Amino acid sequence: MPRELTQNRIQKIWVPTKDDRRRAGGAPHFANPPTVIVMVGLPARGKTYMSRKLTRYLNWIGMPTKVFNVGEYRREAVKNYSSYDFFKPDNECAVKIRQQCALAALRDVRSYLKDEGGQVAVFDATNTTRERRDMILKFGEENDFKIFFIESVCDDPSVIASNIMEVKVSCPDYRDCNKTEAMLDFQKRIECYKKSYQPLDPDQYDRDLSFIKVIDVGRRFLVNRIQDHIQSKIVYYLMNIHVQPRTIYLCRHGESTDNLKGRVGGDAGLSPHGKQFSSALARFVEEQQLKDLKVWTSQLCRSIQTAEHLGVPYEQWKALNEIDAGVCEEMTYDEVKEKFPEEFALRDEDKYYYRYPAGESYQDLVQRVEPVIMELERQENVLVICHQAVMRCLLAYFLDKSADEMPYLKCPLHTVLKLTPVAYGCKVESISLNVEAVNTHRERPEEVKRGPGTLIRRNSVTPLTSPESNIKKPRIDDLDEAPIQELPPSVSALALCSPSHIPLTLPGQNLMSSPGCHDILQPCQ
Amino acid sequence: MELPQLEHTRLRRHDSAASVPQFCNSPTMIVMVGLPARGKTYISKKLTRYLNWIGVPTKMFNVGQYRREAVKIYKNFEFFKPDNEEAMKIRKACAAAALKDVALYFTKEQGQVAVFDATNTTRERRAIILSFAMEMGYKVFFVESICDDPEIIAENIRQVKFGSPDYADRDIDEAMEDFTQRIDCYRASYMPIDDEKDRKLSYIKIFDVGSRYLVNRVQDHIQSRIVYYLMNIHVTPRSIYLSRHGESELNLLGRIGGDTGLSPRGQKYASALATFIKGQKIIDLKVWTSHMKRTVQTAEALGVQYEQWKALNEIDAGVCEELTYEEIQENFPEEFALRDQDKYRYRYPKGESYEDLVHRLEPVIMELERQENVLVICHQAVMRCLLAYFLDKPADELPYLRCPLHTVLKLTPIAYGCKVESFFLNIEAVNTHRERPLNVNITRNPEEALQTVPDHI
Repeated sequence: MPRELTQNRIQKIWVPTKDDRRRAGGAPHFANPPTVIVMVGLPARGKTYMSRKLTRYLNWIGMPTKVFNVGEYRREAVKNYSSYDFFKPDNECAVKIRQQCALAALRDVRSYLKDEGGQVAVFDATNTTRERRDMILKFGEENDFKIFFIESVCDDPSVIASNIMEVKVSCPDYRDCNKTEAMLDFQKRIECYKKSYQPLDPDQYDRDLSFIKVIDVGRRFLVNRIQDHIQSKIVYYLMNIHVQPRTIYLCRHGESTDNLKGRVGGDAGLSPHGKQFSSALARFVEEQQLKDLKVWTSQLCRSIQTAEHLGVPYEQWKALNEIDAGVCEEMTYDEVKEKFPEEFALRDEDKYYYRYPAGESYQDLVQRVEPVIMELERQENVLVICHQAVMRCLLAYFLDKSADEMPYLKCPLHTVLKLTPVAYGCKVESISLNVEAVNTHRERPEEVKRGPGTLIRRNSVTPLTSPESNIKKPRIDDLDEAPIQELPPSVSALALCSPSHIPLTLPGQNLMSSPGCHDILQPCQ
Repeated sequence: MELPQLEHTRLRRHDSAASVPQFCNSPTMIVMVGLPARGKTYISKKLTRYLNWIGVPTKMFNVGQYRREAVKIYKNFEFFKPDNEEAMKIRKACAAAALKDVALYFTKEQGQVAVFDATNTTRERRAIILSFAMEMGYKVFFVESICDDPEIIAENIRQVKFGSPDYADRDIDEAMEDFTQRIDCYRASYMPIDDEKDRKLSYIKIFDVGSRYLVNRVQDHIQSRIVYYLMNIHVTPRSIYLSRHGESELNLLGRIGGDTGLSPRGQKYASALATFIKGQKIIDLKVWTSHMKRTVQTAEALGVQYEQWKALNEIDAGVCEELTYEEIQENFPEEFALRDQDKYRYRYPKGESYEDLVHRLEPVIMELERQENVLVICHQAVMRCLLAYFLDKPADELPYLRCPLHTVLKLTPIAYGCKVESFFLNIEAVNTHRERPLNVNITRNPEEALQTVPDHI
């Protein structure tokens, strides 16, 4: 006897009645065993850049992912970074600390994947030796995690120098140094790793591992043994991203006649103010003096009409159409409240997962819009003229906003958001083109009506980085806890480290002494 | 400045009226590289089928076929000996003829992608192709297949070479012997794409049937899609089962769309499907449904885990949802006629077209390629799209493919294509297939419009 089905009230998904509260995805859940993505590469090869970008992408498509950056653990353990001497391979105490940090990070990986609902953990460290990687592989085996390596190989000195300038020189390690000092120290740091670097070897040693080698910032890729759907998507994503400087402009269509009436959805044309905005947009675009700007619209009239004013070729994407409000299409919110009071309340309860009857949810939108994001990654300068909910989805991707925040992001009419990638994140500038429009944003304080002034207001927002990871202090005093791997007896002959071995190269700085250096851990970079 | 009112451009064909922007600007040549029996033609055909299905006009040019035209009877491997000057001339001429046809395809037939299927194993040959492309303004992307596993090679030869016209009157052992020597003829002069010397070229090297890939300088969107596709396909034997949901309550009433449950006969079908599937004794079968009640109910009867894909939902009939064809004729006679004029591209007002469906289904196809044994329980229009992909049916045939209720289609890849077996599970159901009527003019009368509507309550 087949089970009774109920349509769950928020997502409108048919589930066996007993399973009513299960939260389903719009597409099958393809990651079964959790996956650990392991970055590999010398410093300044873009590992953290890729880790963060990938994490942002995976989270956006609904795959809970988190970065574990071993450098951050090290900064927690060793409060003040003195110099590259810390990274010298013969600096035994430092080596131990670094090992402990890696182990602590792995412990947190395990707890994220096993106890906190994580699906993918990105282990961001150099992982340049076979020893370290073998340790991680063993960790994966013990815990039933899949392991996928991403190695970044690059020997172009100008790329390396540029990376160092972008992200290293301003990192906490170098807060008390000037740029030149920082650059020099960092380069010496890289040298410390070079001697012991064992790249992934697809022909022999590593031929059975699953990995991608990203060579020269994406010019070439070597892909070995993709095991499953998520690895395939990760590879596709990595092959589409690039680091060329460029700008993405997001805006909505000009105000429509439906907007004026407070109606949602539909396919109305522009209001007089909407047309004014379109002309202002054309002027704005010209002012920006971009080379090769691509313009994308949806297939709804208001978006196309807006683009028409620009007088340049544009491409239409059905995927950029506004969220389908199903039975509520073309109603005002008051009408919805009146005709479908329960639906109205449910939407406010869980706006991301809520699907309009015979319509869509924000969650559905993310799926629909994913190919647009993939192509945006490939492109350079693009102006996307879309709609409120769609723009919120896109913005959430670029600014790493959670599903919770996404449906409430502010995307007012007649305002262009200018996104520029910077360091590990995205700079946002909000530019109002100073043409009156109705406010279509619900559940926020009423926006201050813009005056008829001639100045274009610009609001720069500071670079956004991924949410601060909860860094647990590496539990150096917990060395009584069994380490992740068995120690071979020969290693126990090594001497204990003592504070006096820690080099103090700069006056006034002192490394935290390590009181609990009892257990001997395998020497490893 | 007052701009002319924009008409809804649903039906006027611009380049940009497709649901997804067409990202090909210069035409692209995909050039296969590799020794015989390395899967080049298999890949060429599959890739061509995929690209055409997603709306990129693509055509394959197999130089071997040109050779068979030129040299009517194939004697033996000696034709391929590197010192056979006479044969060399012929083979060169064939390659040149194929390139000419590529140019014609691009200029006269609006082709976007040409797949140049030949061994192309020497740098010299590849240089000729590159200079041809440069002259004509075509992009070039190489796909090299490298494999040294003797078992795989032998299996390839068995699967496709024995059936080739070259070996029509040989027995298997003779054919195998001859073909092996043919491969040897190429081996001596084979120069694989060189990672150093050819570092400026765009290519993908496929090692050991997909165990490893080397990708160099992907130039644009279409090359990126091609690489993604090639990295997802495999050759492990498997079967894909396609079926619609059991008969639904709206089916009985002759109404389209909606989200109703199964009729009593539909329930019976669901049980019959469960029995059928068990009888097939499939290892590790994945079951996929849409988000609509009728497919989910059908899957429930199987008693196994299933996954729901919103992408598998039936085509959205917009303003025509839940109407009968008679009601559509009454309320929207012009729309009804327009649909019959171009059923593939026609988009229901506030709804979708088959063309939209194809784009919606592309991630499903991609995942189907990755998977092994899968049963997809979906809907009429959706099933037509999936079937068209597997059986390489063009856009104008797609909306008229027969996908009756209560019938399972079993697709098994063989050689270069797909074997189809149809299983009607013996539970009566209404017919929901509407053929194209004779008169598709908007001036037609209701009887002419409703000529082909199947019976219902």
